[in-house]
Amino acid sequence: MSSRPPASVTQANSSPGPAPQPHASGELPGDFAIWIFIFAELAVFAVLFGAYSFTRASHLEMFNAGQLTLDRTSGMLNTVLLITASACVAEAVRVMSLGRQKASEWWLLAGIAGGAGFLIVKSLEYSAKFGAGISLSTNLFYTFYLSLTFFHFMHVVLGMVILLAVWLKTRRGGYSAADHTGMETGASYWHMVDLVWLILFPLVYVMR
Amino acid sequence: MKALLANRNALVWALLLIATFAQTWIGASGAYGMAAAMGLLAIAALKSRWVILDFMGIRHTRPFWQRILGAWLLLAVALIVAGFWVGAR
Repeated sequence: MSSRPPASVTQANSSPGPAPQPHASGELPGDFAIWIFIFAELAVFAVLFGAYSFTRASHLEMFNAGQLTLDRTSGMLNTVLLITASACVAEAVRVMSLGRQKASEWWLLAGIAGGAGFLIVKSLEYSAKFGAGISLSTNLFYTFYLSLTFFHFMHVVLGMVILLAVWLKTRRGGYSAADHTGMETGASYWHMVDLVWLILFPLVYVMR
Repeated sequence: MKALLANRNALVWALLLIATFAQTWIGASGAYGMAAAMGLLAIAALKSRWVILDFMGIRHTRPFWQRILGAWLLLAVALIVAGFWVGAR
């Protein structure tokens, strides 16, 4: 996360004026270190998607029957929540680049609320499954369903912690139009969490 | 509507929602088999591309980074297609 810029820089960029071109340098937004982490995470999820698909190939009936027991509506609701949260965080970065710190703070809060909504809906879904006696050892489909979605769930939790830290720093005036690398870093991680879900949702809940 | 079209984030958000509802509708319609699965996966890939380019901001980075993220998406989709193709044989 970036340190707070000098007051003169913050004030200079609070004034209205043309927005700076995003990533005019052509480099990745945020700290490069987070991108090493993001690439590693994306590689792991790609392997898990492949493992799911190839395991499904030899247990078609089990996977198709298991998939029909999933709550597709809550899966869709969670997709809507994550997409909306991601859009709010992208908007938080955009308005910060225009020097609108207060608006950025509210967009971040909306993103955090979307993430919290996802965790609530997913917890209710897990609760219903565990209540029905389903566990990791029920069969291979549920092993994949529970482990894949819980692995992603933990990423959402980490993303929420990062967004909360970014929100607190924004509230303290820690970012400006000229310097909001830390916010871009947190946002990049959050978008990765959304990106993974966009493939995980149809793969596990819908594709038969 | 004009404001929605003027703000790229809002436009992408609306397109992502429409694509999500389309996926859920296809699933609820009972569509089954390789063609339906590949249609759903194509929509997922399109949604992923919007998130990569617009929300992540990769559209404004060097072509090298766009290719790296594009290669990841291609790899993930290829692994899923291969698995489903083996299952359909």
